[in-house]
Amino acid sequence: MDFSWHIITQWWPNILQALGVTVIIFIVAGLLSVLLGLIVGALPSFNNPVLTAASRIYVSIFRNTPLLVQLFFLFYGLPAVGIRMSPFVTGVLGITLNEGAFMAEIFRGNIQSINRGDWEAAKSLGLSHFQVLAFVILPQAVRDALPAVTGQLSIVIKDTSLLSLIMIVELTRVSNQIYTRLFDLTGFSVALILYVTLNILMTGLSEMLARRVQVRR
Amino acid sequence: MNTIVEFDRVTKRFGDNVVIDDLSVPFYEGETHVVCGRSGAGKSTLIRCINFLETIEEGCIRFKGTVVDKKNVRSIRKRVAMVFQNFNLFPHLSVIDNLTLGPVRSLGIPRREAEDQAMHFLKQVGLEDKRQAHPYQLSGGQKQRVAIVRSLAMKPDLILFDEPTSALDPEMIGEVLEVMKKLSLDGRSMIVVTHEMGFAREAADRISFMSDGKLVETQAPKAFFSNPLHDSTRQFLSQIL
Amino acid sequence: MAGYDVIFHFLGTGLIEVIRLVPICVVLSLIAGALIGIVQTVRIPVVNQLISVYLVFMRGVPPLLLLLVVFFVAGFESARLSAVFTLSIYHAAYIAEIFRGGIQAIPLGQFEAADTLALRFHRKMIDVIIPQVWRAILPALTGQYIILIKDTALVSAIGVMEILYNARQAMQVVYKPILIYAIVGLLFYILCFSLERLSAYFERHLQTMQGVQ
Repeated sequence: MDFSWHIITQWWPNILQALGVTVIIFIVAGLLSVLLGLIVGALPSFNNPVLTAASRIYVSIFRNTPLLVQLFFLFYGLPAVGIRMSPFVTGVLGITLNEGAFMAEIFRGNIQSINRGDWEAAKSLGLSHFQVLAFVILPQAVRDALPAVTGQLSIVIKDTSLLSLIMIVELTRVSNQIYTRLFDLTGFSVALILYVTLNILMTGLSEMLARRVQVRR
Repeated sequence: MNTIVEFDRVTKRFGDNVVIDDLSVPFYEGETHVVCGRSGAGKSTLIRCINFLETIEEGCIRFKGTVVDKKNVRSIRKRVAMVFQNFNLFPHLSVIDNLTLGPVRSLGIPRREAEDQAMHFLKQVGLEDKRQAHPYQLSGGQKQRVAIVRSLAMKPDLILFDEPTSALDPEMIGEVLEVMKKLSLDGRSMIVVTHEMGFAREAADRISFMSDGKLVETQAPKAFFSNPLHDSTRQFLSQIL
Repeated sequence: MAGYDVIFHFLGTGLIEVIRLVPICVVLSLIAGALIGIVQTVRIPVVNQLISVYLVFMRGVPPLLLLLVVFFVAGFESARLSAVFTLSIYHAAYIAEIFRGGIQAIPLGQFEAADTLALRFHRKMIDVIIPQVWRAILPALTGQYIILIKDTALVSAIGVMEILYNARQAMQVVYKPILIYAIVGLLFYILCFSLERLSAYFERHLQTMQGVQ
């Protein structure tokens, strides 16, 4: 593996910008996928066959097909029927739809494992289904889901590298650019280090959250 | 009488906790030696040191003159069998495969011969019709009898019993103790950690009372029950009998 | 209608390529992962630290980037070989973690019983421990291999002619991106879904074989 300080200093502005793009996409798509997962994951609790089926079908489709295929569908497919979005929006949408399915599975499981008694107790107070869900069930389920969610978020970091294939200049693409221009692997070395660092930070954050949650219990 | 196992100033600690405290004691060939005492006294640890499931900090244990250490561990385990409280049968193997695994893989006995031998012992404990059963299909008492046969199949010089009836439902304890009594009568060398005082009285050649990592006293059964030397033994017996 | 035979041809050969790639990667990553997982449970000082570095690295690196790096650095004869190698070492890290967890979940008494029978380490693992690990880790293994199947879509980036690569070829002839990518998705869905069903079948089968403990 190559590692040349010269190339790093020369390309530093590009690398920094690409890192910024990676991090921003990670944050936006990460937050949106958690939100989407929360909504879809909560649908089965309404005991409405249509909502439950919709949630199931969505999760099954997006979990059992590759993210890259979903991205290409959005990026190359939709313009053919007149829907045009910027690469950035396409990328964020693709990751959100894909990871939303994984997040939904996590939340669904945690909502299901909340004691039935909590539902019954809250409903006997005259709260509506939605109120029970929002004020009693979800706060507990979200807390239980934290470790799994942060684990899934570290996969979202890795997902962002696929956006290099739909014209977004993020870390993977910039390191590939350095290679194709200079036939030098320094860019790849830098990208590897940065991705692994991001993941270690994410793991640290998740362990910290997990400890916090345990203390509060 | 020949010693089969000898403890020579043995100390075993778990962290700061002394489990075996400067213990010296012989165990004799052909004898059934029962070790009793309160839970946490170090009885299980004592016998687990003999086949190197636990390592000792100080002193020396000898099995038939061979020092029990890392170097000799396999040759000693080939000759020392153990019966566990929780049976520890291999759940994915049939009874017959449980019984032949050790002889075939460790001792290098041909499979046919190992199977014949296993069937011979299995008949002795009345379980020959269970040869193809899996452990989950057996009752607790049957499991423990199979586990005893598994230890016999290794043709051991010594069998260690680590509370063999403690995990059993009361109605199944008898069938296991029956088998153990038979082995004792055959003149096998056995060290038995147990709370079954009836078994100790009938089958033991020697009984030791263990407390705080020491063997407080060791006597023949008659004397042990009728005339215990130590207050702590007396107290223990009055509580348990 | 003209064009469907082209789509069918390209996606069909792509599918065959995936069906050729996946089993090799499964076998290689399973062997490597099992060995690494077993070594981890034994705790050998330096070796274990090296394994930890490998695991942290593989957890952090995006598989697409790893594919590119190995392709440019290692100089394998073919892109396909490079892809097999990369996907195998990448997934071996996850398989190793699954195996380690599975081994550590086996009751201590099983190890002790095997030790008491004077079994050597490899016999203890092969005859006693690993057969019991399978059932516990089967769902996790399947989950990992579903990810592997989906990751084969990435190898189009280094020119391996799998489904996604061939989809683009087909589009040079018949420009129907929505249809083509929908079929590509469907093909992957069928692959992943059948693996899931297969694992559920084996899980039941193993259960009836070993009973409920």
